[in-house]
Amino acid sequence: MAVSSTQVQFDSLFGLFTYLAIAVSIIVFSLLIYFIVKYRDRPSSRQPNDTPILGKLPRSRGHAKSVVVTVSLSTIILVVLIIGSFGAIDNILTPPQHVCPGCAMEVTAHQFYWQFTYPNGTKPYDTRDILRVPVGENIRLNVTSADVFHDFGIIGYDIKTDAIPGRTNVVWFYPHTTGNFTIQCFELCGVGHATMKGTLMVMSQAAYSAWYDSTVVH
Amino acid sequence: MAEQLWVSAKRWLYTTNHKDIGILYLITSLFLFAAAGVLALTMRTQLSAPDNTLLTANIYNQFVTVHGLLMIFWVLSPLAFGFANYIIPLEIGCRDLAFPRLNSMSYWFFLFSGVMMILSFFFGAAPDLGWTLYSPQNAAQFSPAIGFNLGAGALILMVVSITMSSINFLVTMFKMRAPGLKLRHMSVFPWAILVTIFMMLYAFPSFLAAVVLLYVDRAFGTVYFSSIQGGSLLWDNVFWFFGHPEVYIVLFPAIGIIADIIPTFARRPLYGSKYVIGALVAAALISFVVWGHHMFVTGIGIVSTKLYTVTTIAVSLPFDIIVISLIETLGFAKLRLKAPALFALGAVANFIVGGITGVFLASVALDYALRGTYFVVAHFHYIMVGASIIGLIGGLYYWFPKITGRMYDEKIAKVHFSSSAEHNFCYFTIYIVARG
Ligand SMILES: [Cu+2]
Ligand SMILES: [Cu+2]
Repeated sequence: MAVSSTQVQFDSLFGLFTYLAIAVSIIVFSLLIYFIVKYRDRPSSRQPNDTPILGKLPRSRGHAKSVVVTVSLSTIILVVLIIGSFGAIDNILTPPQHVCPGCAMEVTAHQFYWQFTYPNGTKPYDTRDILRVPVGENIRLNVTSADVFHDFGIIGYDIKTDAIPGRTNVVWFYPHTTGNFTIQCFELCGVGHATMKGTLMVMSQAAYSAWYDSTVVH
Repeated sequence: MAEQLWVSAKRWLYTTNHKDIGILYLITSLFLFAAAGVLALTMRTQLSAPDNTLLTANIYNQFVTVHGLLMIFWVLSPLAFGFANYIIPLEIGCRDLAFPRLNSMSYWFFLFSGVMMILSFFFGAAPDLGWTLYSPQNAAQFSPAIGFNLGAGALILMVVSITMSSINFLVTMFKMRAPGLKLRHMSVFPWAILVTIFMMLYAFPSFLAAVVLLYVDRAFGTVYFSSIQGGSLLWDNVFWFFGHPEVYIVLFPAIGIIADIIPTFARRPLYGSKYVIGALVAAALISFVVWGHHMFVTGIGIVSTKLYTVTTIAVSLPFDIIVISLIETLGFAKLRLKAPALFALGAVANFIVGGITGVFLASVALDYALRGTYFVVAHFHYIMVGASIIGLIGGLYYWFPKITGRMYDEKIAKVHFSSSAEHNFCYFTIYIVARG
């Protein structure tokens, strides 16, 4: 079962790309292999009558028809892919305007940890690197960086955004299931990059509200 | 004895002959290839076991970065231009390049800059933030090592070398072709070099500007890239404006070589050669309007994102034409599967895999998941190693008899080919791992 809205979306689009990629590969590779096997040099094979001769310009060969067919077939496939991608782009880049109270967090990347700040101002230092969110709600994150270029990604959620100093990027998702997921940095940001990990804790709505209401506002 | 040694040293030090310089380019870039390969093997050894302590994080990052920089600037292009130096004057019928001394100067700049890049390890630390040198991590505040300045200096010298040699080839190919040899009569290899030179001429100024400003930032405390007001995205834009054409700069010479090898061994002319050349020109033009696909996740906005998705997906069309023409060349042929042909066909096969997975990355929606993962690593290694390096090695076997006056050993060459084919196993696994 898919763990988030973003995973559902990624899986369907990745599926479309993969099916078309496999189809195209099968056609192109069978053509390549068929030609190599069929027209390899055998004692019985005919000497082509247009073999290039040293010092002479080779005879020109080939039809525009082949180009037209290749380009039009490819264009059809590519247009399908573009249309598929556009829907997903709109969805990813149009975060919901209104999310529940406690569902819009600030994410600040540091060398080499993640700092999460909640709408009520809570910045739980004891639990930095842990992002708690309720299941079944739209979650909106404003991602930025306090030092260098990082990239905020949630493994399994198939969602990412760059954490850039002086800039805020928005990312949003809708968790389907409770559980723990790994947050990781995806841009080489220094010696601690490999260990720059955090945890996304997707909690039941009741557990989340209980935790959220208990946090102290600094 | 000493006398003889001096004579031969003098020949190679003072030479301005295009063949000699071509050989120097080839040998030097093969040595640097070995150096970059050692870095890669050490990294893979580190990664072969969890919590391995062979390399510290610090050294690992330096290895990653210098491996990438060496391969892209000091191996792929110089290897290709070694062939160009040797072969182009012969193919277009002139005695040497237009400016032989300038040619020799390009070579020495290339050699010294490569040595400088490697020396950066011994001055504090080599550049250690990936070959893309993202801002603001490239600022002195985050990467204070002197070695980084040395590396940046090496890149500047290398761009100078590349600029000198592109002007040299440009003048040679426009002004010194044998009488009667029209541009449209040239085969695909000289055409690919010509298109590559034009891309270099337009892409490298952007990179040079980026590295010079970076150097000034680091040495004199300016804030072009370390500024929090958009320094990061400024670097992204100037770097990737160069960065995407650069991929084609290292790929096109290999395509040219492949398109010369396949007709030779198929014993038929290249199918649709004028369409292949047209496709190279088209791809080169489009390559300058796709750089945003490296910035999909930086928050460049919905319109730019869609625009770059379309241009990037469109740039695959010319390559479809090239691949199909190469395959159709084999039709009704009498194909001898000698080593150069094997490498050329292997490169085509790798290029198909690398190209198709590139389309995945063109879609921003998939980029949100695939950015920064091994999927990207596998994709560009299929293109850079699978297509470029394998194609260039095909060229090495193809022109070995011409350059050395002897024949290579076909058996050894075939063993070499099958061992190279194994890289497929490595990189294809990486695609799968990336989704794990
Ligand atoms: Cu990071
Ligand atoms: Cu690109």
